[in-house]
Amino acid sequence: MIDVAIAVVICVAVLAVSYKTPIPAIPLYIIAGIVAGNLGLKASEVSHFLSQLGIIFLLIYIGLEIKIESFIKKSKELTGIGVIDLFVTFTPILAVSVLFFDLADAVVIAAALYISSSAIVIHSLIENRRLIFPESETILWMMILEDLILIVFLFLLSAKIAAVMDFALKVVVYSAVVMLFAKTFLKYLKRLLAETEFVSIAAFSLAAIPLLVAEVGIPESLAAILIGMAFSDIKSIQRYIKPFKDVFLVLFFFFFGLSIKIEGFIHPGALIAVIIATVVGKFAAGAVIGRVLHGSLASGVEIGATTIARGEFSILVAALSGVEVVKTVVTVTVIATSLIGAVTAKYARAAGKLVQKRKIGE
Amino acid sequence: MSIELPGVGSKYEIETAQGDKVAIVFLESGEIHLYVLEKGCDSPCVVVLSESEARRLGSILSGTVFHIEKELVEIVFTALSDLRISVHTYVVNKAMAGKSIEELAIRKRTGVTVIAVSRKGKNVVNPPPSFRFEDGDVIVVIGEHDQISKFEREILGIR
Repeated sequence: MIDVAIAVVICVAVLAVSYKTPIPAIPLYIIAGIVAGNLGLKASEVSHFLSQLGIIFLLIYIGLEIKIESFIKKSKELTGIGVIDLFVTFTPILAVSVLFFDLADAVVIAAALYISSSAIVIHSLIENRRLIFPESETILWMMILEDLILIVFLFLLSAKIAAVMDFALKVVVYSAVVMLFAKTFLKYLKRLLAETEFVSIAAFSLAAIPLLVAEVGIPESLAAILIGMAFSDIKSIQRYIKPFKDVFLVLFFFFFGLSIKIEGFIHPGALIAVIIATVVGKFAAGAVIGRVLHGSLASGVEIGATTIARGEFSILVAALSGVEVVKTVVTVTVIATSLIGAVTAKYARAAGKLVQKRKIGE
Repeated sequence: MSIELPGVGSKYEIETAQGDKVAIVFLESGEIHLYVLEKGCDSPCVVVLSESEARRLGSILSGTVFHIEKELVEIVFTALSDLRISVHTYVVNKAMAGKSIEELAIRKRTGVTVIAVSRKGKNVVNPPPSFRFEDGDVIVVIGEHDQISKFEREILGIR
């Protein structure tokens, strides 16, 4: 238990540092974990379980953001964004990773590093006062689409090829049951949600479902995000899930950092190449999306520069893969891109304007 | 029309005839951000409002508060699917003075209910239908927004 106590104290200190500076909190938690691990702090079974809760609550929370109806309404526009984002970002990361790692590991690395950090990006849009601009809407939809593709990755990551049909069937049955349950009891649930005392424990209990269905072979991560989607009609649930997510996710980051073994088995050149591909890939994707959707490269530069930071989802995919090489590469890249991304996001709009001016000047 | 900002909340935008832009963003955290972007300018000014501050600003903009004797309080019961009741105060004018609630048929004609009257420092709560208004009485009425407007038009004869 002492490890959890120490972790909580360190994380509060880290958060205070993050508040006072423009540095995002996510890389700091991970760095704190790495440092603590090297100083001899050991993770216990309790901390492992709490980290697991962090993943589950993050995914429930993400699921709650995914509202199928809004997707269908905007499907034409969104499909374009999603496809461009996936291909333009994923390809260069995969191409570079394959040069240094096994194909299987390279694919997981590319999958992990393709997804931007919604948390960092959303925070920067609010803090940098950018929500009035239409580019911000595109960026936010991009984040949600990446979450949807994350579901596909989670599915692929957990499915063993031989058992894929059996697995798919289980997932479909589970999804149907959860959706049906949520729809049937929607009215009843909404009424209950007015009782605050009841609500906290009920919100917490949602986390029990993924843990339970893990017993029948449906991975918790997939189960959690599907639960979130099933309940996305009830707006107020999010408010109650958030505190749990905030607390446990921080512990997850910290203990993930703790589990990283820094050993000299990866060439620094490989890491630098992956970082460059990760930054360039997303920037290019943003540029193309801006060009297509807003008809201007300036918008593209703005979108690209805003979405460079990687964070929670990359770490999540790396943690679920459990491969040491993947974990290390992704961790280093997340730390680098989240710091680079914090700066580029701040000057994204100015950079876009600069491009526009030069074009007019020509 | 509100614009969905997934992961953030929702946004309402207005572009004025001069080309200035105003956007109101309702964050999921409950904060309300009011963006003002002057035409030709690229860095917006942002005011962060609490829910009650936003409501006050809204009342001022919609013209419901113009002087001190005429006050609007909106009561929201969040537990009752966001039931909103507007409570207004008015000063009795010539059009009402000397008549009773029954004669004016306030509820029948407008739907609003007079719940209290303040006369020379004394209050009457739930005045009976026979209650006769005097010039200078301050009355408190409740009703929905539309009913209040109707009351102002038909009973007070303003607007």
